[in-house]
Amino acid sequence: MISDPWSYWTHMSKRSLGRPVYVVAGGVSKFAKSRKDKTFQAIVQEAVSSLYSDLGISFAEGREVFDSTVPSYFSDHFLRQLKGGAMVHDALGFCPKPSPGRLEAGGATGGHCFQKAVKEVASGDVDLCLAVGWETMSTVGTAKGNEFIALASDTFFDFPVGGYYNGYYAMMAVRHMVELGSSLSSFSKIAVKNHRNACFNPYAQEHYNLTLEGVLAEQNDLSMRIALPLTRSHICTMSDGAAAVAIASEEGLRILEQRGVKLSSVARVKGIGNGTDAMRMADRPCEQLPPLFPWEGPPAYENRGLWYPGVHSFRGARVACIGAYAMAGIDNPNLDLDVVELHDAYTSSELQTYEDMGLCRYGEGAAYIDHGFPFLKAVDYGFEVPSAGEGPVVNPSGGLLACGHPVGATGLMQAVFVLWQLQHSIGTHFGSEMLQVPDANVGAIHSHAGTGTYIAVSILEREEV
Amino acid sequence: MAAKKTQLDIYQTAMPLDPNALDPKSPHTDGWQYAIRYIRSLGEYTPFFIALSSKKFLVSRCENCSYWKRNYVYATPRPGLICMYCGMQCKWMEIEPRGKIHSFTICRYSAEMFKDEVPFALILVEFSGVDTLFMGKLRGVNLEQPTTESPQELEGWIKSFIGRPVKAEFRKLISPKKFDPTDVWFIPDDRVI
Repeated sequence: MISDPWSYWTHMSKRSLGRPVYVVAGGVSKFAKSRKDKTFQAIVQEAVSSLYSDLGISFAEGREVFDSTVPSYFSDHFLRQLKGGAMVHDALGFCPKPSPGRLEAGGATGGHCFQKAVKEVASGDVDLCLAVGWETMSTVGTAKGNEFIALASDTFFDFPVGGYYNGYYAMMAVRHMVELGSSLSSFSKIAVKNHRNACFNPYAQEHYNLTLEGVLAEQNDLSMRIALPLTRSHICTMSDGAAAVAIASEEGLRILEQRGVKLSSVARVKGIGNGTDAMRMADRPCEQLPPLFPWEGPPAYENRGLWYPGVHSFRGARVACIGAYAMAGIDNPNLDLDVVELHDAYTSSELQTYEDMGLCRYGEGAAYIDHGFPFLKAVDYGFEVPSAGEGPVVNPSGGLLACGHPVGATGLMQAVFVLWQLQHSIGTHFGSEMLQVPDANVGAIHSHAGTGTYIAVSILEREEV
Repeated sequence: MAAKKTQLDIYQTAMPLDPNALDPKSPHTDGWQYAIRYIRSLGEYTPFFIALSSKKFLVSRCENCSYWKRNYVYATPRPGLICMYCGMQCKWMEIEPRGKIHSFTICRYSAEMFKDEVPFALILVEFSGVDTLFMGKLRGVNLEQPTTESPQELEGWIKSFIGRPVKAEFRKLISPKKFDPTDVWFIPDDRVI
């Protein structure tokens, strides 16, 4: 559909946010399989309280100083409550202040909520906006939960034949193995990476010191098989939790300063982009070339006979990255980005996304993992990661695989973790410097929904105040 | 009457001596049943599902698509039967439903609605001369994933399914038609090509 990648890039480069927008603080609730201790409003209050305490302001000051909220959650089915957005806005004490209403974008709900809040500020409508997201998935059992999530696929054709998300991603993973040469061991290394990273993240739901041999051995354990080739450790868990992010204009920063808020560093939103694809992956085309980044000449993929995007690649992620990189002026993501929090609902989708994001070329995802590029130097994974630290570290927090995936909160959780990386405050927040990417200056957030139907990519850059 | 009963219920529930000291670890949970029958139209997809009951498989074709500069054929009909590239109305066309496995998986867990059916295999089918794929169940194959010594061995087993010829099988006339995509599934096609 994008016939001329260079003119498309130029077109996308002309976009701007209109005025500078900053991420100033974030907060995350405890993520757990089941949070029966609190109502959903109180779990969101927990995330917002932690954001306020980072800013050194009280709940009363927060409701006074912020102009609006953008609430987000994925599923009315899980919540069994419509207008949950209005109820959270209310519970945060914001009435009668404005709110543009609840945002929903499947698995990318949090990432799109973040971008919506950014646009609220960029447009000049508000100076200080709270993006809040949550999901309480423990209201039903796992099988019913999988059914609710599967209702976010085509219910005329795909769901009735037994389709559900683990199965869809499994078919995408298999096709990626056939088409672009990924392997079970490369997927398994991602499971080890994210779970071992999470051992140093107190906010993570799972703290499992996985081994590569252990993850591979799950294939021979009937109870661990979910949807071939994905076993238990390749798939994120359902979760209850909330996350919140504070977005500000320059005027917003001044307002906070007048309140006595002391910020040593913030993150400037350098670029945002989003992309989409057909709901039914069966409908996606098999064109010859991906939408290219300007630094990839067409020869990169010539004579490869590549089916693109087919069901093995996320075309929407490539388009989202073109939008975000072009706005941010990123022309070498491997050098320009220091840290990426990427939507790893499945190990396979993390690997697929390396290629979509241009961290490596299509077909090089497995080699990218095997060389150890997205790993942290400081963490012991039990296998060699010779190139650790040479590219952006991907999912130092542990990602969705280990932190959990309370859908509406997830993209905002990623924003919080990237902000803390850029503020160099991982040590303060996690109680350990292990996951701090040294000198992190530029970070990317990648939020993804429904086999790649909605994808939001945002680029943040550290700025001293 | 109902209000009076609620009043009684309140009096019968013991209040904690100090509500501020309520143990947050033992909250009360409520339960809620929500069962509903949706009546949803299959609309423009109707001919596809009616055809399945006659053991026919319809695809939809954009004739002389102005984007692709040729006929573009959808295995799964598009909403409104509108071509997603040029916006023209597609025409139904019957094909012989024989194809190849484009991708596959074996589901050992599922959505609750299908939990009695596991394990089952899902596939995406490529039909020759058709541009998009069709998702369905694969039957008539051994779904026992072998115990493997190495990841490469398992990869080999997985990949052995890819490209295998399959053909559609339709729900028998005697059994009630569901008029949903489970009226068709796929089995290995052993016909020599």
